[in-house]
Amino acid sequence: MIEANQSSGVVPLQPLLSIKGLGVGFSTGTATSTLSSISFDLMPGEILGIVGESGSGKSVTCRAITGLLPNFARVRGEMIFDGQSRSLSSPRMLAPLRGADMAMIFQDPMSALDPLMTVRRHLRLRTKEDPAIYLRQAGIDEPNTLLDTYAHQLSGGQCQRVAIACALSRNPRLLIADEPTTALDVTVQAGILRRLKALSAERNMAIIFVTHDLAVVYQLCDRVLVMHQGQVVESGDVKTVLTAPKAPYTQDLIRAIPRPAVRGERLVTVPGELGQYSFPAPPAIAGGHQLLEFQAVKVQYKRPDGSNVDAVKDVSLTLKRGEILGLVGESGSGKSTLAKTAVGLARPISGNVMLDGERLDWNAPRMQWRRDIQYIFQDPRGALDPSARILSQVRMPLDVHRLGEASERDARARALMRATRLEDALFSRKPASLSGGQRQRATIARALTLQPKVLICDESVSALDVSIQARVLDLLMDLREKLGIAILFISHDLSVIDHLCDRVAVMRQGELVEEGETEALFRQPVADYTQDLIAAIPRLPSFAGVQIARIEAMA
Amino acid sequence: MNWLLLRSGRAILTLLLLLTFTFFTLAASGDPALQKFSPDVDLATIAAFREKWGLNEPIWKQFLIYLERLAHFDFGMSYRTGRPALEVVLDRVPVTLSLAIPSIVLSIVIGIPLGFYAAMNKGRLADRITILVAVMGLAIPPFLLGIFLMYVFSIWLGWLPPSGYVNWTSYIMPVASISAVYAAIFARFTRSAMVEVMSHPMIETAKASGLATGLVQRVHVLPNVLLPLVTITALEFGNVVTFAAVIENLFSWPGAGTLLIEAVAGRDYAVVEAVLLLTGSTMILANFLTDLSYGLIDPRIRDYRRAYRRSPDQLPSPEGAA
Amino acid sequence: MSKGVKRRTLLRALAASTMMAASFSLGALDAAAQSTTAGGRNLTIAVQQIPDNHDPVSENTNVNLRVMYSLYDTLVKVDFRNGNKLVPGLATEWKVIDAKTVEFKLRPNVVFHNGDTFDAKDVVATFSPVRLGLDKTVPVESRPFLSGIDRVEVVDNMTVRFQMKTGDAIILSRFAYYPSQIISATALKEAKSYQDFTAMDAGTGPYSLVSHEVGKDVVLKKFDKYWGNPKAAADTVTFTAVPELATRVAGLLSGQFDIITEIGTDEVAQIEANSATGVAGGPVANIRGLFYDCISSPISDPRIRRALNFSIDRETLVLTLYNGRVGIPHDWQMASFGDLYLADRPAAEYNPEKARALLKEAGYNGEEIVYRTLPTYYAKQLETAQILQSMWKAVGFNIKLEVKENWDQATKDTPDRAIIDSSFTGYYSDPLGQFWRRFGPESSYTKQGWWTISPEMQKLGDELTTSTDIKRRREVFGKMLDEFEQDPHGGMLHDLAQFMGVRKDRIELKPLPSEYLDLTTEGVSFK
Repeated sequence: MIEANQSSGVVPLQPLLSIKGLGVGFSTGTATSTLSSISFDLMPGEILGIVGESGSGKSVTCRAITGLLPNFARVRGEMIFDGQSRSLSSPRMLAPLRGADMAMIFQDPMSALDPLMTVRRHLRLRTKEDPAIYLRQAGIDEPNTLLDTYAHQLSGGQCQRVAIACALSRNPRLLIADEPTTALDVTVQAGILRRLKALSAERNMAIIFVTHDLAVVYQLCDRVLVMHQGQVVESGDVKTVLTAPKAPYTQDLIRAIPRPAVRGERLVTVPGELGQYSFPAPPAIAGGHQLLEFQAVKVQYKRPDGSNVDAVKDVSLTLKRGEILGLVGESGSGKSTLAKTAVGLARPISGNVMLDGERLDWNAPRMQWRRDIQYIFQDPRGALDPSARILSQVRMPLDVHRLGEASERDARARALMRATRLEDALFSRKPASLSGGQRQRATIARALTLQPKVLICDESVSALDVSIQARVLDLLMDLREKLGIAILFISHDLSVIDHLCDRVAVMRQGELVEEGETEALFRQPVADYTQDLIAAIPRLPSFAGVQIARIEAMA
Repeated sequence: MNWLLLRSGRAILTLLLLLTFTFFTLAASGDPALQKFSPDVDLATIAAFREKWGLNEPIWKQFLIYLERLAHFDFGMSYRTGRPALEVVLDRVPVTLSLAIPSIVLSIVIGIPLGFYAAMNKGRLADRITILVAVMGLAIPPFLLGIFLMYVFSIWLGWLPPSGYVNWTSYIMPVASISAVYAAIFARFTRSAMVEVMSHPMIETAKASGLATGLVQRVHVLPNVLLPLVTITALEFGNVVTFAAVIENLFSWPGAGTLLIEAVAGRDYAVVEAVLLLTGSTMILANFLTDLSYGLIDPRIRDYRRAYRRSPDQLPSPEGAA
Repeated sequence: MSKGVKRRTLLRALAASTMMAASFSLGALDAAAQSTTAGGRNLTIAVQQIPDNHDPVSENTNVNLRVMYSLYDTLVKVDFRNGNKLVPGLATEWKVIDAKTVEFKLRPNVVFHNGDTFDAKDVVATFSPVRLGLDKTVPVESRPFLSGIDRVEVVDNMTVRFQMKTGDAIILSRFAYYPSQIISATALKEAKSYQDFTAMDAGTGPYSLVSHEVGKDVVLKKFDKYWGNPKAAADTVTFTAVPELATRVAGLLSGQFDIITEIGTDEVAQIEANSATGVAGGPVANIRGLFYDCISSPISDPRIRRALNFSIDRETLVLTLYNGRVGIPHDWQMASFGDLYLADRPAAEYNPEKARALLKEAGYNGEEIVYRTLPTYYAKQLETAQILQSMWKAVGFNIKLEVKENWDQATKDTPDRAIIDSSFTGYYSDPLGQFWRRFGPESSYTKQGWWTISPEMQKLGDELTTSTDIKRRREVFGKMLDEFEQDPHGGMLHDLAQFMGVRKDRIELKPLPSEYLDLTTEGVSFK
């Protein structure tokens, strides 16, 4: 073991890894992205977080260190690993380091494993030792039951642990983890983070942890590197950087993170900015308190052979006027299925969905319902026609419903797009040339054209970077405020829910576990499951409503 | 076993549709009596012929009679030769197989390594040249290629016999003509399957674990490419009959392909139907074997089927996570 | 020259690599296929198709006729090389007693391939009811030729007498031409069914059957006990089925075949360019022509049909398509008609002016006339049809060309049926075997209602059929042709010729002016 030549507790003077002047240039067709003069040191056993938004160059940095960049990448710079200097420009020189000296794990744990190969064989390819040892180290309690399984028989968390075991199996001194928990549910993520922290300590193994999530960095890392547009904008001790960021970019980034401390406040918007946009007049709100009601809704899915699975089991839930209701649950909890019954995308086998006191029977749908309830999906790319200009796409619902004159429709679409902070210059673009956030705002603008009463956002911000997510969250709050729209906000991200919503409903395995006012629910969760969920949320230092101790090197 | 029944049922239905369609199309487009005899033959001869083969019945009745016999595994008689149709067809099958099997094997032996080679050199000159050659192989009809080979090797160089089976060299041109197309299909397919597998994150994971490139290809790439390759092999095997018909005819090999051409021209229903039944069954069998081999290769499919058999209520989705 | 050498080397290398790649595939090889080419005088003939059986009355195709001539003999033999003179065959002498009766003395010591000795019972079997189409369950093609036979009388073991139903002008020719090939009585008796019999070798001819694989080949060998002269020229003959013309040509040029059949005029140049190969063949007693639907069709008016015939420029047609290699017959007759050949009749007239005048007279107003053709049943069939269409168009016809897949589709009786392609084989050296066979009362077209025969024509035809007076018959035939010209039921185009490719470095081929292929020493000589 590596620990053998180092007595624990003594901080070695020499860094395990030094990167000096790393630069990467791509020249593929027209797109040229670069990484310029990245330098940092990493001590043995140290955990370094690299934070940045998409395109910041964090993944490229990792791959440059491991020599895994594609052939057409031009790499400059020098690396000193364990006292030995190597040029980063020749990937062939780096290859011998892979596996034994540095290992890497990736974002999508399912596809990191070969679907045709057992766990045992994955490990056997890498080590002659008992594979169970490494599985146990990776946090799998009963490794022997897992050895002869395949990736598809495992959960995402188990897969990532197997991937970690694979990485550990050759006893590397550096583990590079590229967003390893992003695709996992929050409770699973917490377990893996604890495990990585413990491993680092046990084996004196250094970790480079790449993520977009500052809270995760805070929980796990010793030092952090903030990257933006291919450059390191700030680096240093985690606590210092996150509590007293110096670089304006870091400050913006931290401000953009949704958190209970600023619940209901805008994350990005300069106050008063909203005034310059004029929304269409809000529809008259009349009638009772309840707007959208799910009454003991039960949904079954039919399998090809004719048997049924209960996706939603007798769930009752109410969305009030002008309310933002958060619907939380891990994957497979049935939250999306429930929401889809409101727009007829899923049909309940029993129970009712009521809109403004009227029963929604999607077997005999009315045009009005389609206007009143708008559904926004996670991936705006799939929701937009790639070949049409976004202005015409935003205008389309009006065209379909033949509302007003052509010029009126156009004006309304433009107003809405401005209201969702899409600049005029973007109006005539096609979806491909917009950023993810811009595309999502365009779908929101389109959803608003028909002046809906209810907006259902199904993981609508999950795929977005923090700063872009912040803009969308701000927009949703504006909409509620200015238009009185009720929003059903579905997310697995409790921080976002906590920040945005008035009330929260928690679902698990098709059932409603708990429901309540956001603040109360987060402060005093009743159900065990909710408690687990909340405990697992990675939190940032000064912003956290309740200070939770950082993960200690245990578990 | 449920799905086996379902599959068999579907297979039989497919064959039945195929039989019905060909029977009526053939019947609608020509009278067997007038195909066998010239148009100026005595009318009594035609009448006798019709009488003998039951062609005076309405066509739907003829078809029902045919089906009834088929149910007793009687494939009917060939009008042309007066022999049992199945016998006539089976006589010709070995010749077709003796062309088709070497052709398929050769295509695989050439096409798959070529596809591998191209994928390994993706984007480089070697890849582009391979793709170009493969596209040419696909673009040139086997018939034209056959004629070209015949011109060069038989007429010009005088090395190879152009017609029928003389000695082993007779195999060269027909096999080359068929293999050119199939090697191209296999090369292109292998390449794209390879490229897809190689962009799979597991490959990067394996590389990051320091596994040697050769090992990665052997343990990860090869098995994962195998699955689509098995599929296409089974699919293309059925198509060989189409090419065999053209190539057998060109090189005068008395195989099932030439027989099919003769039988269609002669409206020898029973023989046409027997050839189609045989080909159809072969394709269905090939598909079935492919499905079986999926189960052997891919644990996901194995689990799916096992769960289905055990209790259809707890069915894991074939993709893994629900 | 270095360029040429280089290219050759490259091709050789290419060929070698192909060969190497393919050589692994040597699975179970059929060594038997080689046997016929080893030693002796062997002849390999590539034909586009081989017959399905060997019974003369069961298959009347050029494919079968080609093989038949080597397997069977007739009572009377046609000396094709000598003005179609009738000479003794399996009958040593004969006596035409009257127009209805003929008596044959049979040749002694003739042995069948199956070992039987030839005598009267074999003649009786040959002309037994089943082979004359009187058994409704056995389809045979002999009726148009032999339906006139009333009975066969066995005078003694070596003498038979035929009694016809009516007087027959060509009574002797009936026993000289197709399908009067003599078969073995034993074979017919021993066969389990007639279908079985059709696959048997039941002849006395110069060659006997070795094997027959449907769709592949027919192998013959010299019959050592052959009674006559000339004898078989080769020790073995293999008729191998090579459906593609290009392959037949390649096989000839590369030396795999000695003879290839059915080559087109386009291939002639290619074959003649090679010093080792040449072309043989010529007219085969067949006229390429057209049938007209004369009843309730757009061309029911005889003037329109005459106009059709006047519009055909046969010289141009033959020159364009056949480079002048085929001839234009002298009206509906062939030189082989001998005594009945009317040499002084004018040739078919090409006269567009007359055609236009007739059309005007008939009041033809551009009504659509359907011309159904097949693409390749005859040589250059589609090209011929297209040229005809343009010739007709030039005089004002509106012809719609319909390309069909088979004869059933082409002859289908619909109101628009008007013109179809046809050919007129001269079965006997007499108008009865050609003109009157196709246009007379026994023609299947007459029976299918393409036209009605006028009483005058019928009367003339009856006389032509029964009269034995040559002068009178010439006169009658002339009148019939005149009559036909006024009300034509068809159109005559040109002679049909068949060309064969031959390895002239190995053999010399002297083909017959017939669809028979003569493989005796008279027809083939080895070099």
